[in-house]
Amino acid sequence: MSARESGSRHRIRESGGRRAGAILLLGLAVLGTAMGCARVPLAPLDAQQSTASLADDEAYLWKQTRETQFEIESSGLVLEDPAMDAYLARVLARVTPSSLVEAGVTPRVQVISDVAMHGYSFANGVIYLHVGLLARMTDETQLATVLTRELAHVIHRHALVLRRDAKGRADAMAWIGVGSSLSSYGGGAKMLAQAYSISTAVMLPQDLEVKADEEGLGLLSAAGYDVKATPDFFQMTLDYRKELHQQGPLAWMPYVAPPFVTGRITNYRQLLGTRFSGGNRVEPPIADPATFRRNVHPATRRQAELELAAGVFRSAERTAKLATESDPSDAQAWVLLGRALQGQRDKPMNGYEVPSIHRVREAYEHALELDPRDAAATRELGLSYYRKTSRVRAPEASRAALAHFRRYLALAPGATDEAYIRGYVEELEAEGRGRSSR
Amino acid sequence: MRIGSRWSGACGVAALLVLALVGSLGCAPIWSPTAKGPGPHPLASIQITASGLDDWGWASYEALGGVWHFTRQGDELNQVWMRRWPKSQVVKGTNRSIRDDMTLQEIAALSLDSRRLDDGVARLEVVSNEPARVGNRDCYRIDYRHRNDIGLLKRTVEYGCPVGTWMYRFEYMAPAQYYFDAYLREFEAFVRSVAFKVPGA
Repeated sequence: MSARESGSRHRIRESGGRRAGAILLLGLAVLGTAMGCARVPLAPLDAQQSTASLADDEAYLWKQTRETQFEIESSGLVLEDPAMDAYLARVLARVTPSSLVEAGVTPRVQVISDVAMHGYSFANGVIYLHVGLLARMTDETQLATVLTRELAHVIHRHALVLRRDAKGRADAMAWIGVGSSLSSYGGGAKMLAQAYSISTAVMLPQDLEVKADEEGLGLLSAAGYDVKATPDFFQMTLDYRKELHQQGPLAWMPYVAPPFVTGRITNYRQLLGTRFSGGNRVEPPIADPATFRRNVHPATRRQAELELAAGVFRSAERTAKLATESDPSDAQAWVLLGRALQGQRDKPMNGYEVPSIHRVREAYEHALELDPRDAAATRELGLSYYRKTSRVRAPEASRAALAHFRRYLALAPGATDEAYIRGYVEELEAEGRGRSSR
Repeated sequence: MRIGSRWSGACGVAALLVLALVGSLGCAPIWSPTAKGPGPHPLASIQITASGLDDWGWASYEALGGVWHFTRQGDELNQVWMRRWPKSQVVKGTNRSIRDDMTLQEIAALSLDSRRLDDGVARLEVVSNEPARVGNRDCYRIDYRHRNDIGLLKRTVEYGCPVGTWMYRFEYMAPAQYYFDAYLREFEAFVRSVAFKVPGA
């Protein structure tokens, strides 16, 4: 999928700057699209149009692509999990048409540890899916929907079309790079912006996106996935964006506005009502939703961590809950759930119920039932008693906090936060001594 | 076509913003070198004084609210940043800000979260994270390693001090090999000399 159904990962500190930055990038992206004039159609990649006969500019694009991928993949941004990677590779192999393999392309999918909901492909058939996207997919058909759309971009060489179509777009893309460096922070943001500029992550001209919709659905159907549910996937991306924006000023600026996603949903519905009106033959094996969720569990858990770090605690709660469902035996998922609930207590949102401290503790206690030696759950449970819920900490809360902190220090000797916990222990011990001397 | 016309207004706004941006870049430089007298040196824009780093190049970015930057041999080899921001300001990369009831551990964790979300700070590995005292204030001190966007292993020591309505951050960053150890002591001495001059805090 392109950025239309996704939020970008770039953020600006202040709301005024965010709004201006969002308008700037959105405007530039629209401007870039508008500059696309008549395009010379390119033959799709297949046995006749193989990678052995790349034109000079296409070969250069591939070289740039490999270099960018090397940078990203050696930067620590890739979430690696052998079982998840193998599963994604199996689904990708299933939906990849033989003609693309005959062309000499070896498609590959990588999971990127990035909080923004995004997925895109490069000219050489490499597809990046952010954990933010995988975490909220409900079934394998949604995964196949994204993969087939991206494969359609690869087959029809849309990254090259975009490159040749450039003219003013090149300037616009450069400005997107400038915008991202101004709007956010470090070199990595620029690294991903660079990836965006040579992939399908940015706005493609409307006709190319429509082509990818149609061709992608064709590939999905040919691979034996049910095409009827595809609009739901795009609706999910809109719902997530709305969910995020209800949680404060975090600006994951969309390169493409929601109306374009709505446009895609309309396009899919039209295709389902015409070319695919008779539906298609669904061919097993397709992982059932529970198995799918289990297969992408590492991405779900990672997304919950990132949402917690970003401070979107309601989303983190929802994602952590998904993680507790996809692997109920994962103690860390329960710790993440507890932290998401605590986050909502620390930063209450107008119009939403503040989770009780009991719910927070229940999550940590559940983690400890699963793994009594879980140091993180022990520390968090201790902190839940240590934080004052009123002006004065109750004696029983002090005792509980002290017990959990002492256990934490025993479970995790040499932990990086040991000095803080020792400080809390000293404070609580002094508090206890003061209480008993009164 | 309908969608394009819907966003044509945004194009206009974007064009104006680009012009404004280009125009503003052509104005006065946002940083200026700073001459030093005998210490302690006033870093007036962030209301502290400090002694040391006398052989380093000093610059202040007044347009950015008074961010102070120091380097001895260039940013790639060693740099120190002294800055502050209002606690109520959203921490970059997050939609969280610093609350008065946060513990130092929570503030340090927020700073690390911000770094981790910044994908320029990949493979972040915390060496130590502990409470510290700076200028008679309770602060945190984090020591961490990370790779920058060209894969170079760097090491950073960061002090964070909540002072009144402000959050102060003092950072030292250098390549982990040789340079970090070579100048860490100078940075630590500089931070130890900090005195906060925030009225009423």
